[in-house]
Amino acid sequence: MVDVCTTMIDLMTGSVLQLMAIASITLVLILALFMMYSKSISNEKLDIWSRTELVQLFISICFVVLFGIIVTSYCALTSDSLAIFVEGGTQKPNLNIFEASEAYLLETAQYSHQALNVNRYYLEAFEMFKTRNRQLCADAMCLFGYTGDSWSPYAGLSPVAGAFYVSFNTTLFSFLSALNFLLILKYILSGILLFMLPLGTFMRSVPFMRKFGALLMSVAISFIFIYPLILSVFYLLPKDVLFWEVNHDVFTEYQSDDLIAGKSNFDILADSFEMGQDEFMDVLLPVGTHYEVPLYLAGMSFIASVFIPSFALLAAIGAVSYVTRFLGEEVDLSRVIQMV
Amino acid sequence: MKKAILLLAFVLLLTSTSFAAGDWLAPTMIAIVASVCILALLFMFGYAFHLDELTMTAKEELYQVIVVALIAGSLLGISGALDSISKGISGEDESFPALALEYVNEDSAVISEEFNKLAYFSNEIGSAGSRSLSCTFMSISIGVSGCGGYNAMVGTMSTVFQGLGIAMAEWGSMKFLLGFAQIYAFGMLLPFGLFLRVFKFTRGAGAVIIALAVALYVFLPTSIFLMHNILVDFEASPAAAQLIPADKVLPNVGCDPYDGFDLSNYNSAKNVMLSASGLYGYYAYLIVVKTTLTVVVSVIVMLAGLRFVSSLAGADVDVSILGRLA
Repeated sequence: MVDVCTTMIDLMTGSVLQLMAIASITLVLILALFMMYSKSISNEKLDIWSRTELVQLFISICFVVLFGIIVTSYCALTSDSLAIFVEGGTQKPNLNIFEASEAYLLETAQYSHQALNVNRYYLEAFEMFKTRNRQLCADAMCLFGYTGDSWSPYAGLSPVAGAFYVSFNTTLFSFLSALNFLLILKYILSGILLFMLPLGTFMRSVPFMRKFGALLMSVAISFIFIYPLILSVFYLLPKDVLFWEVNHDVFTEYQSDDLIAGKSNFDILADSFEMGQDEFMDVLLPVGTHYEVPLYLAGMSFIASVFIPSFALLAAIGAVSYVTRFLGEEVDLSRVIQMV
Repeated sequence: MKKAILLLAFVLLLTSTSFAAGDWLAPTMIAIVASVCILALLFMFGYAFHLDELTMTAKEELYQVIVVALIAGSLLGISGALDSISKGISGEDESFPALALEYVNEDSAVISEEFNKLAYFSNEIGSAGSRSLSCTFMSISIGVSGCGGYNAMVGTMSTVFQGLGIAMAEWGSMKFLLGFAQIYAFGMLLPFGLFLRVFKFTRGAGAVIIALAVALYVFLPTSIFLMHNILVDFEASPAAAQLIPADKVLPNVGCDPYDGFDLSNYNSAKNVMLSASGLYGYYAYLIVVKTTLTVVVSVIVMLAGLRFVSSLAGADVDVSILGRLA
């Protein structure tokens, strides 16, 4: 895992700081010129405007300083320090907030992928079984051509597969969703949004652009702080909730069984030609198979990979409106929300 | 008079605090004490430098700390009362969401059992339906699908399985949410929300987080608890007798393809279909009422509770946005 804090702090103290300084100095110079000009022509309105913009520039700089303080706090605050509030939360490795948020999404992506594998396993098994056919010759009549009884002993698995198609699609969607949210997080943690700070600082003091500048700054603040913070809170979720005992058994079973490990069902199909029909069934779907487990996994992976990250993203978008209010302008989020 | 009643109600709520064994009280107290310390510093700073606005703000914010303490006290009472209800019902020292989780496990186990039974039955039906007889002599052949009548059930069975699959996924989601509520709602979200609510800049966010904690810990398990009990009562009532057969045994399936030339296989398939169709209403009840309705009502109640508590705590939440998650 790339050290997010190093990247963030390097950017903050490097190029972002330089751009901030350039933006601030440029603005101060422009405002100073306007102030001098307003004095020379005795225009009070222009003078008041220049002073107001100076105050706004100070507020912007304060926000950026606060931003830096929060980044360092996020890097210093680790999951172990919060784990005392969560029963069983100390099972996880000690990570800072940025790393914990990434770890949560990686874990859910892995979880959804495993759930997807389990569902796929069942579907492949059903597909293989339902197409198998048996023919039974009727005594010696086969000497003159085939005469007898034929049937597909596991054709009835076809309707059962209907339930697994639904759960397979759900887990597939969950897996893709987890990757999608992970991509958004990686983009945020790459520090690209930090460059919105100097631009926002400059824009806030340009006539008619305060709203846009405030939006840029609040997007940076909300997405860099709120989105990872909420995800990191869920990182502490004890394994019992997601990986309760039966899940462990399922994942372990499909990964460590001597016959199945490292093989696809198609490899097993090749082996099956050397097996009897029932022996093959005993390997893939033995008596006592819990058909319900993969279906539960689909629901759980949906909450972990779709519901919670969507909640984090909604909270971040909501925070944009909240922060812009402090920066002087309110943003209409109705259109932005449509993205979620 | 109104204030006196309000105060009395608060005192009554606090009487049950002794039952509350939640670990969330310590971090909440830390949050309140930390907030008071910060406000005291602000007040001293304002007083020392004659900044009247700052001292006024500190005083106003102190009032908010008192409100937060009142909210914490009320929630302490509510959680204590709910946990004691839970203890009274289950006989074990467990939280209210844990009790709701037990109900969810109980209800989902019924569907799991039916699913596994139906999977076995489906296999029997499919195997019987695929049986056919063929005879070949001197390149002339004849084939008779003597048991094909059973295949008429496959379409219905597919629909039932899809419904049951969705139902089980819904229960899986609910198990996750309740597991999360049990550990997080009052353990982490509530103290965090109370802490944020003390400060002016983060009051809205704090109120929403408090509301989320209460919605998860109180409203979600309560609605599950109520729905479970309503449905248990319904299942025991005479009105449910037609929908839920007393004997939920699926019929035995048998077919001999050599009997394909008379009506015996047709009749046996018809009898199995008629016998099994008595259970389809029950499956529909399990999928639509026992699962989907319970889950939907619980989520709606949770979101309504979120909005209600957030407006009480000082922030109005647009539920239509949160509704997208439901």
